[in-house]
Amino acid sequence: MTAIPQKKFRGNSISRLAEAAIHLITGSIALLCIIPFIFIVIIAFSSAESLRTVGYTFFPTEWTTASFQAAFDMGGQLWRSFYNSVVVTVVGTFLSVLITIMYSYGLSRTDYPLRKFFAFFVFFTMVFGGGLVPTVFVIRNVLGLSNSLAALIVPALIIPFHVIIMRTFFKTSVPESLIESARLDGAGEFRTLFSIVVPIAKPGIATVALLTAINYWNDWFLALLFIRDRDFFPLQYLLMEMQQNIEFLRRNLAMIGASNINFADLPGEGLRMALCVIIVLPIAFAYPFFQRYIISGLTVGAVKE
Amino acid sequence: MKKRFLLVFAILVATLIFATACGNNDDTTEVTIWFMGASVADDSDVVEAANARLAELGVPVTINPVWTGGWAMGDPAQIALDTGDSSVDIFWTGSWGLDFWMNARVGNFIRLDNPDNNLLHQYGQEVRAAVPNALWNAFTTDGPSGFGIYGIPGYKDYAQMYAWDVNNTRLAELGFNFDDLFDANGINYDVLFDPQFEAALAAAKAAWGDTFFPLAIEPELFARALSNADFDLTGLHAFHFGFDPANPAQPVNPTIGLYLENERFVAVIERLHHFWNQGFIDPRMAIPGEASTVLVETRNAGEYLFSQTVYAYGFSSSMVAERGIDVRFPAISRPIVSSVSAAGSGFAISVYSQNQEAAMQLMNAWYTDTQLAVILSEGVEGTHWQRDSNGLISLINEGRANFSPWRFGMGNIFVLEPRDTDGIGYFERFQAYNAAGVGTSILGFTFNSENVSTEMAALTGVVDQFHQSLTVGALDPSVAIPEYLAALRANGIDTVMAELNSQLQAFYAAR
Repeated sequence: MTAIPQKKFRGNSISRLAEAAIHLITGSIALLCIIPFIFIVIIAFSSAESLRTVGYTFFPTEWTTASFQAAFDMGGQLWRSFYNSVVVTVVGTFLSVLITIMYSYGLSRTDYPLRKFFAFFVFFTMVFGGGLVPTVFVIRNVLGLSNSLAALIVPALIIPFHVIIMRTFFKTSVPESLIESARLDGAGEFRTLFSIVVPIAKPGIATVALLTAINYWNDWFLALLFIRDRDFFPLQYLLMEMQQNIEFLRRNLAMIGASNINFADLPGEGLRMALCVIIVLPIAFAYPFFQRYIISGLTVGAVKE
Repeated sequence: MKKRFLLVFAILVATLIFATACGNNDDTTEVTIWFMGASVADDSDVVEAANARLAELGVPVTINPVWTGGWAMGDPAQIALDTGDSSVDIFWTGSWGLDFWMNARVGNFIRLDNPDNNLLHQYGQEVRAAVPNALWNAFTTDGPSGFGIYGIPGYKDYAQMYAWDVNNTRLAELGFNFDDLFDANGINYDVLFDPQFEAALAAAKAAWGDTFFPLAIEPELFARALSNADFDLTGLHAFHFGFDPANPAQPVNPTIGLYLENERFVAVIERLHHFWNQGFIDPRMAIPGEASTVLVETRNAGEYLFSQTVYAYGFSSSMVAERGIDVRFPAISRPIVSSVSAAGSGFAISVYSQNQEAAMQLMNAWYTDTQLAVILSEGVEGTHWQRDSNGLISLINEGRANFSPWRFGMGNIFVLEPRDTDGIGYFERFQAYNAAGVGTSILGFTFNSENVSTEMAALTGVVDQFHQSLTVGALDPSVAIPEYLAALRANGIDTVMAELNSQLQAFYAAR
């Protein structure tokens, strides 16, 4: 009896050629994302002489850590700004996620009578912004927030998009029967939320937390609007101020003449890139800690059981 | 028990009354002032000393300086003004930073000589007398409270002079004699076309190789200086506000035309393109965003032969010290006084300020008291500076690392004391230099672009596309100029030119 040759079952798999092409495309996209950052790192380690003579290149004529030394020589201001950024990011993310969870949990409960009103209340601000002048006026003059870390935290506490993400997450991932059981077991609303719902919703919360943390870490605009005292400058605004100084001089050098400027105060290209590296690294290190949850968050609901 | 309670109560009431009375004695007003271009990390000693001096002078004001933004303070300061921020009383303003004329016109600054509340007369008579009339005229404009003074002029180098920036150390190394090329006391207007000039550039290129670019020019400014034009007051860098180099008070033409149609400008551009093709000019000068950085680093490193500048008095001594080479600044034009240079720096009181009277009192004291002015510009004696054997101010590097304001942007520099790098008699020589400045024919004129804002927006894009590359010689003028001209015409340059000349004729008529 001869064995019947069976064609190997490949299911939904694709051909090796297509697989190679997909790898090539995704690899190229990944490279396009990482190359600028590698370039920034190389410029940060290039000597001023190399930048002056051969410009930006992957292969500088001379490597140096002088730019990082200059960044660290900024001393108090650098570390103060670093501290501000960390505090704003940690405190802001914690408060923002807490408020987002509570707001969106309420919206996800079908037995909450005002959910439509509050859903519209938050959605409306996504479509119609307050405008710069009224927003600044309310935050600075009504809430009295300026020249403080609170001015960098409070205005970004609720991000409507995050509320909608979390509401959807709660609705699709947390069975109503579970909440019903908790209530039958005598749990109050807060206990149900924090002891039953939140542990189940960890992937969604982690996703929102990461997005919020990035938002706080990268923000310089709130500092532009509300901070005058350098003691409250976040890192991003420190870099932004340097960049704006250079940009201003570029635009106005022909108008004012180089003679009016103390060039010694201007940061070099290498220093600016070194600061970029210093700014990017902490948030880049945060990704691995969130990664496991984010992947589960993205795949929740993708497979029917 | 009752007595004891009454005694404690009485002591408490007495303490409260005493504390309240003490509080009432402190009737000073804090005035917040936002400075430009400063590099200040710690001003605590300075603020303390300045407030002590104000108290000595009997001025019921304390100062709260804001240094945020540095050279780009105009962006956050403009947001503060646009959002009605009442926490800042006085803003630095000028023709090239936080736009004085625009902010005065829209009512962000108060009129200081307002007939209904003449702060200048009530609290600022000394500052009014300390600053020359020519500067007050530059800060006199139209606003919601009528035609009047809306800002306090910075009193500094209001006469500005286009000049060559010559690295004489390298020129001598090449065997060239400075005096054969330049007239140190004359107007060096045609040197660009001198065969010796080109020979020096070629020798430098041959001596120091491919990565050495001997002609370090500022885009736009070089061609403007060499074609004897005032600042383009539209901000477009397209109009040639030409003047006679020997007599800047005399316009070349009664109306304003385009750079691209000016014979001298075209000749300069053709010459630059010739130099560009020979590798005398750094290619990065044609890249927007690169030029200023390259120029700064090149000149600071002394890696150039010829450059140019808008010369400020005292610049030569500071540059020699900073670059460590022999730098010379032969003139391209006579010192001129233009609207932009006269309104180059000043201060205005915000319409949203709750302390307008106190603000005027502070400005009056600051502009006229040497001790206060020195504290705010140079810092505290012993911490930021010390006196040398000649009694001149010698900066202490460690202290100044945390406190380095833009000296020329700090009000009245003529009330300061000279530094050791300035030398004795510095301010007297400086005054003489200013006095030699000749007002250009359009001194006092400002352009209001409201009627042509659409065309201005479109033209800005065209100018950005061509002007930098053209004015550093990167583009072939025979090809680029017709293209550039056609693009300007297609985007409404003739409409803007008609509006400009109409406003200019009205200005001449009113004058």
